[in-house]
Amino acid sequence: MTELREQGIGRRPALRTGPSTLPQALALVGLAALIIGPLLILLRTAFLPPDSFPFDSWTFTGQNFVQILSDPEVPSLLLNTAIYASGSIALGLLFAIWLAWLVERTDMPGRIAIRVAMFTWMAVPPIILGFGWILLLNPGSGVLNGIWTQFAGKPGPLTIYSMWALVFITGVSVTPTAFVMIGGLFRNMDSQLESAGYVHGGTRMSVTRRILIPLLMPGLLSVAIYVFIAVVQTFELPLIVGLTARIPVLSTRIYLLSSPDVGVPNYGLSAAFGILLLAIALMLMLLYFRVVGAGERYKVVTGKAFRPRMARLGSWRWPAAASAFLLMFIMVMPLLILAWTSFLSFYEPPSVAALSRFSLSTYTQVIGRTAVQEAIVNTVVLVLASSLATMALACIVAWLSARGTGWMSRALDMLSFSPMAIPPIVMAMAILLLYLRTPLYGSVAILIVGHITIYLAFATRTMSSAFVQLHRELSDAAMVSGAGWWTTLLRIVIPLVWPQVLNGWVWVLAHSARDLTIPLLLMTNRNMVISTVTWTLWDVPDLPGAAALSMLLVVALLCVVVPVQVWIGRASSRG
Amino acid sequence: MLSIKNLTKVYPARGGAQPVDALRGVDLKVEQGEFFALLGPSGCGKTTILQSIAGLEMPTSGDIVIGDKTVFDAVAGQFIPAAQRHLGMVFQSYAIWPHMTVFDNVAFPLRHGRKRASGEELRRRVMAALERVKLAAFANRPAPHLSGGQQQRVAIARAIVHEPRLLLLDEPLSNLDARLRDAMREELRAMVKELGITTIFVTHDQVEAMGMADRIAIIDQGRIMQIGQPEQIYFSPRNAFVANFIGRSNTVEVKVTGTETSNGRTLQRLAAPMGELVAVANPNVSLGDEVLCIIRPQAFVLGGVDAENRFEGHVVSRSFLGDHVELDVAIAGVILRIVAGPYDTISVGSRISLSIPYQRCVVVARDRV
Repeated sequence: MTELREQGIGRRPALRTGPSTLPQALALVGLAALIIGPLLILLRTAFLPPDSFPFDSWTFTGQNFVQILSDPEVPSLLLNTAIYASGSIALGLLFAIWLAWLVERTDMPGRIAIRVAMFTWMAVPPIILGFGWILLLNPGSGVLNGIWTQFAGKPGPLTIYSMWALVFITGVSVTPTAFVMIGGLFRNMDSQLESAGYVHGGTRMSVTRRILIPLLMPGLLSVAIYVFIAVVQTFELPLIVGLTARIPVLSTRIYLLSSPDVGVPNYGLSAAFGILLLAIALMLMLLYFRVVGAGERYKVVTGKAFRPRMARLGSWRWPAAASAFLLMFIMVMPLLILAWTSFLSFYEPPSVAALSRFSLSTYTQVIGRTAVQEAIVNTVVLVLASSLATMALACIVAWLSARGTGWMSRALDMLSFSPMAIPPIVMAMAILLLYLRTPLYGSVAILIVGHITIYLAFATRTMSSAFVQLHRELSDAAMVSGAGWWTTLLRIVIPLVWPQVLNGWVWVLAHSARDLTIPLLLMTNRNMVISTVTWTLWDVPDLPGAAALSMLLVVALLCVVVPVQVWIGRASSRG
Repeated sequence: MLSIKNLTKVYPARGGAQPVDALRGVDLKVEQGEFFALLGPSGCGKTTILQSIAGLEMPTSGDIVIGDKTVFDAVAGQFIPAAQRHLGMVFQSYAIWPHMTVFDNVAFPLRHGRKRASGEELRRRVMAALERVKLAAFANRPAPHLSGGQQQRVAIARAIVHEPRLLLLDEPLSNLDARLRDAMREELRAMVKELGITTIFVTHDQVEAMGMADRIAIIDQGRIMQIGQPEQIYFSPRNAFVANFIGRSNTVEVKVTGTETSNGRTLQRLAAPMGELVAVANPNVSLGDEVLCIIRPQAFVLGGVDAENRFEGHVVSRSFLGDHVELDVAIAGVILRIVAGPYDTISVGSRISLSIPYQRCVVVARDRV
């Protein structure tokens, strides 16, 4: 009898009011297979003797790490990465703060247009921006150099293949992300705090210096670290621009070792570099959480609608607007030159004379190719499957971890969030190693698995912050009415956070379509998608073909992103 | 109908803080058809009790039986989830789902709950529930297009549509404005009584609890202080907390000096700072005990002629509150709060004589600190 009782008490912690244990355990196992599996293989590979494959032997050696430590190039590699990341951040934040302040806190004309443009910018793949910038800044034939030559009479000094150009391009391309985050900071700040400063005798200068900046500082710092992590992890721009410029950074080194132009892949060394990058990203992530603090991570938006103070620009309105639109123009320039190129059969710099040679022949030619048609089908399958699966998984995981109690829901929360710190290039590498000798390798399915893994963190984070903001009684009411956790999620919770679900979905969809990292590392001739085909065309080089395909991708993404953003904007202003 | 035994709830220590004892051994029984209120200040644990009954909160130990079914038993490791307890609940925020119409909100328990209905049967029962809360005309309206009072009615309809075994109300009136609250108080009680559903009702407002409940449990710091009918609790509070929480009281520190019988009643003589008091005896206190004597401000008879408990004092302050006048009267250095009628003209500084009938003096033990 006593024994039975003790067993009963021992079992007690398994009881919980939320969802039962089984779905939580299933979700946990699924996540672990998705995330921890590849990482274990990566770790195993990093300790592999040279010239062998992950599953071939049981010998462990630290040789790869010894090689990294003794490599004289590694310090400069790290230095390059650091300069590249901090330079891009400085520039990107500067642009983003300027734009966000003008849009959110002043009466500048055209603010809405800029905000919409910034929010839809996710439809523009970074590789396409890279292509455009190369056309603009090429040392010999770049358009901007051509203009320079016309005015100055001598060859232009601009070159895309330099650190400053890489920093500038990346800085411009992270501006929209930083803008969205900083805009939120500006919008959510209680303007009463500033008003209190003015009422008690503060001048505009002293209120800005003593109240506004100190209040914004923690937020800005967290945005800066977040973007820093993104830039350290970024792969596409260093690949397109940095390789020719001979500016190796960590992410491109990992790629080159695993997919060299000549010779055998050195998976062991590549994995060891991957571990190094992972360690750096993890440390930055810990720093991020320190700055952000646990409270901010789950900041619940109060129902209070702040009407932020709008600064009156007066006669400065038009110069301010001009500066903002100039910045926008700089961002759009690479797209314009690509659009120009796509209407020509052979690339030539913009001129009135070339207009007569405009035709749609490049488009018909590109679409006519079997490889491109296959890639389009593959891309559609990839983006739909990965975005739907990611959102479904994210909703379930976020719900189970938000409403569950005990260690399992905490484990779910942490596990689903961890890919945030795993650079996509490292994850791609790990997935490659895991599936290299399975039939899955070379299929579109492996790309789907890869994208689910790397986008799950963002999607889960979006959904859990949406769930946290939902009044708990709304779901409690469904449970008391007799609905199980699944019915509650499906009938009550998801419909209530529908705008956030859609927002997350379109984000994953756009990123899945524009991503080059996963498709390139896992590329075979059977699973080409638009981004990899564009990259191959560019490599040939078939500039008009690559430009036409890029434009098709951007236009297709805009057709999805813009209506959804407009709908979300309406839905949230209604609510 | 509902029986709770020795229920405790400990929230584990978090981030260096001490563990919190939200419930420290709660026992109560509610009879079939009874309207039962859980009354206490905020943070006393009354909502935790309600959530434990609903299955939204996991108690640490104890057991809960609804009808003949054990829904929670810590020793046996038994816990029936909220969805299977067949209850109805009105939440403090009403928790009306804004993405549905009024009809769909009310139909939810019949569509997704334990005892389902469909087609004509579903329609009939939902409309009957809406009829009962006088919202039948609003069935097809989107839920957000309702006023606060209407949302509350929808919440009630949703909680009763599936004829639950138990109706739980979590501060249902606190979000209504004062006038509406008075009207709803009577309406809600009438409706629940007519349906015959056993109802547990959480509130921090003593007027609500007194006006609506058959019996009240007064809760403080995770313990039940007293359970009883409203009059019982008002006239014979068991301790100083109950006396001060239900209405207001003068609490006088006294010592028991003697016991006597008069007219068949046992009385106790008490030594108070302002002189001797006679009160109805409390069998739990004995000669020589240091105890408290509780006297309601309304218990005093101004200028009374009783032989016992006659005192003289002077008025220290007076506040005119419309319906009544509050006087602070100093009697031998002790200040007593007295309520007089608005037409009693007594000015500050005047001397008055008053008496306290011994039936109105309640002896309670001192709270163990």
